[in-house]
Amino acid sequence: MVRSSLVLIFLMMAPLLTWGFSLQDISSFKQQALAKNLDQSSAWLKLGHYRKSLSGKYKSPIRGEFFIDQNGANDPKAELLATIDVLFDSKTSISQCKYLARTSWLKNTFDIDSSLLEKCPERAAWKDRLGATEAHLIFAASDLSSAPSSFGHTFLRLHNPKNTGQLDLLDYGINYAANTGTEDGALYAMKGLFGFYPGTYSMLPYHQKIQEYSNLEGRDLWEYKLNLSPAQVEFMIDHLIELDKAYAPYYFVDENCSSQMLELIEAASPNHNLTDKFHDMVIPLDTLKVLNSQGLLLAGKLRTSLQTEWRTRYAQLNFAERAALHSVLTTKSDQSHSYRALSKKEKAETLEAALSYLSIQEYREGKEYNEDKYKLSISRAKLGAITDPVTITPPKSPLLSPSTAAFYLGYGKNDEDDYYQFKYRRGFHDLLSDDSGLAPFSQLNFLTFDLRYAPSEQNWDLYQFVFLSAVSTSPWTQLEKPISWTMEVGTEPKLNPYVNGGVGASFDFPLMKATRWSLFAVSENSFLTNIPQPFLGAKSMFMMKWLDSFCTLFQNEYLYSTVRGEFQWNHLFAGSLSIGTTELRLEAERKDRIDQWGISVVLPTP
Amino acid sequence: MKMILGAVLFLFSTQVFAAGDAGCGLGSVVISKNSKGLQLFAMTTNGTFSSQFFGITSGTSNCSSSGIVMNDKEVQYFVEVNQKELSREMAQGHGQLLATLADMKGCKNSEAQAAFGSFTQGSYENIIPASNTTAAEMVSNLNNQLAGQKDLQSLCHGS
Repeated sequence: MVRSSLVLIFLMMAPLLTWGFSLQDISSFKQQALAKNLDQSSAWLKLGHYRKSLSGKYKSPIRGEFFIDQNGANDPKAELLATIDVLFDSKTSISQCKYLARTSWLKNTFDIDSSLLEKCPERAAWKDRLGATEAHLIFAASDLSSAPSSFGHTFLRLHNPKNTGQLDLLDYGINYAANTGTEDGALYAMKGLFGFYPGTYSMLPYHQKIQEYSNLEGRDLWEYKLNLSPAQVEFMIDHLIELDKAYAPYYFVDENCSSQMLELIEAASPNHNLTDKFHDMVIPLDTLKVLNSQGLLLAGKLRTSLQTEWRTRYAQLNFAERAALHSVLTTKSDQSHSYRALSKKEKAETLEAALSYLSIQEYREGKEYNEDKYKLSISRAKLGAITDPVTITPPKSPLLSPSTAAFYLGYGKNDEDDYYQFKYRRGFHDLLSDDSGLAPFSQLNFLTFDLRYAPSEQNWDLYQFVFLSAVSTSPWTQLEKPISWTMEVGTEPKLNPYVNGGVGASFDFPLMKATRWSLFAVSENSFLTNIPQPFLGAKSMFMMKWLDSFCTLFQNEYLYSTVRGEFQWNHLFAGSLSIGTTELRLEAERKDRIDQWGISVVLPTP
Repeated sequence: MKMILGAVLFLFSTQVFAAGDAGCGLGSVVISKNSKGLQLFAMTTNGTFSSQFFGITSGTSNCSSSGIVMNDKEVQYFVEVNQKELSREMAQGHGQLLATLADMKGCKNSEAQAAFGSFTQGSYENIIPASNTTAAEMVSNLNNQLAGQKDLQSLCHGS
């Protein structure tokens, strides 16, 4: 405590002394707190973001201006006593107005009359201006062309009831993010994984927040109203004010945006245990499901991104319009023959698609197309009101996506030998998983252990361990030529490390529900610690979604072994049928002239 | 990666401005290229290098104080943030941001919002006379144009 300023503060406060408690009161509060073991109550532990470590001790990751006691981050009891000491002593330099949530919790716990508490007119006025009585959880879904974005992101929208109808964009978004500065690339990734960045809360008008997610990254936003009372929402805001000027080390994997959102919701509603459902990593999509399973999510609503709007527009254009669109975009004018041949309505649709595309290109390339857009906008405006808003078929809800962690139980034959398979996937989904709420035809697996029991040898063996495996595909169109890529790091067989990667292109075909063909130039490198076996070659993946619940994969590889100086073919056929939350799999493979087939059941982890 | 650089550059403008001329000074949004490959590591975060943060102590622009936009500056702030997309929606005569702007201008039901959309489309070049029209000019042009729209005014009950 800053003793030197106490006198000054006291002088400033002296005329305002309308509140405060006697030393007797304060020690009685402390006795009550100790008698009731309040420091072990879930409400107090959640207000301090304490977590039990393996040794049974409580620790909080919060740094900066938050704890009152010097050792408060590791000692909930000392922090509680210091809080009572300081908050109820009118001669202190720490105001109750900084700790609104703690104060209101203590007030309710000890049944203190409001008139005895410090008045915080400035805070009250600020909260009035914010006017929030509801909180909505916002989930940024996958960017359809990027497998890694399946991980998702969550933040909050504080809803003011005066923002009715279309005005909900004027609400405020509360976001928790790592302050990464302008760093980028691998260093950024490593720092983010190991908690080098401070994570802090920020608040921005919701429409401004949307710019970031829905426009910049092409992600659709799912908005779910949280089942919290206005009083709980106010308590959450009070707690956010407490966290002003505080930060916590940000870990991408487990102490990230989504774990913080859960902690906020828990602080507001301590009867819900949300964070203990997570032990190793916090996948935003999983937090959504946990909130849903505890009845905290109410009605959901979809807000589509610019990218979704553009894709829908392009899909709805007829052949003549697409040709015209191509000429409009290449010449940046509406003078071509193909454009002039269109009807008035087709012209309008083509120009709208062109403007939509240029908007996205601005975000993607960081360029400005102001002049071009302005010319086309004037042409479009002159055509008058002849188009309807784009109707977008909503994608399946992320709440329906398959469980990220799963067990595979299987039986199969590898070159005449039977095996029983027990495989565990920590995350996330593979190519054959149901793709609700995920990027279609993509894969993002991490920490997959494939154990096999061979009856002939009577032993268990680690067949394969996958540290990380990603397949990201995005189809070529007349206008866009995105890169598809694959990457896999793991060990096979046993603990022999391998690294595979590839880049290529994908093409969509209008067959069945959806069909995509991807071609990659690949490099596969196994036995890295022993005698490396580099292979170079080509890989083709033909993926077909027959029904929402049934899909198949045909994969062919033609590889050249740089060690043996010869070519080999590998073929794989796989099919998957989803029944509810379980899946049936069939896989047959010929790898370097060795045949293998297997059937398995994929079960979500309980 | 996925960064809006300098999401909000609060420019402390010292000029005393008359209503509706100076903007909010939100600065321009600089967008770095999205490198899809490296997104793998940016799965759960987004970075900003502004550290104007939460609540009472956060920065102040010409249109907001303590992080909350002033009532009489809502329209200006909204147009400034969403200028690009609003311009596009005005040209086509409908869109979500345009409906929100209409709602802010008092057009509460979908019929009135649709009429507002058609009006901005019809007056496009008066509202946005050039490709470099600023958000502040756009708002004042919009207000001037709206003043002459008797039917729309009655649909939207004043404003």
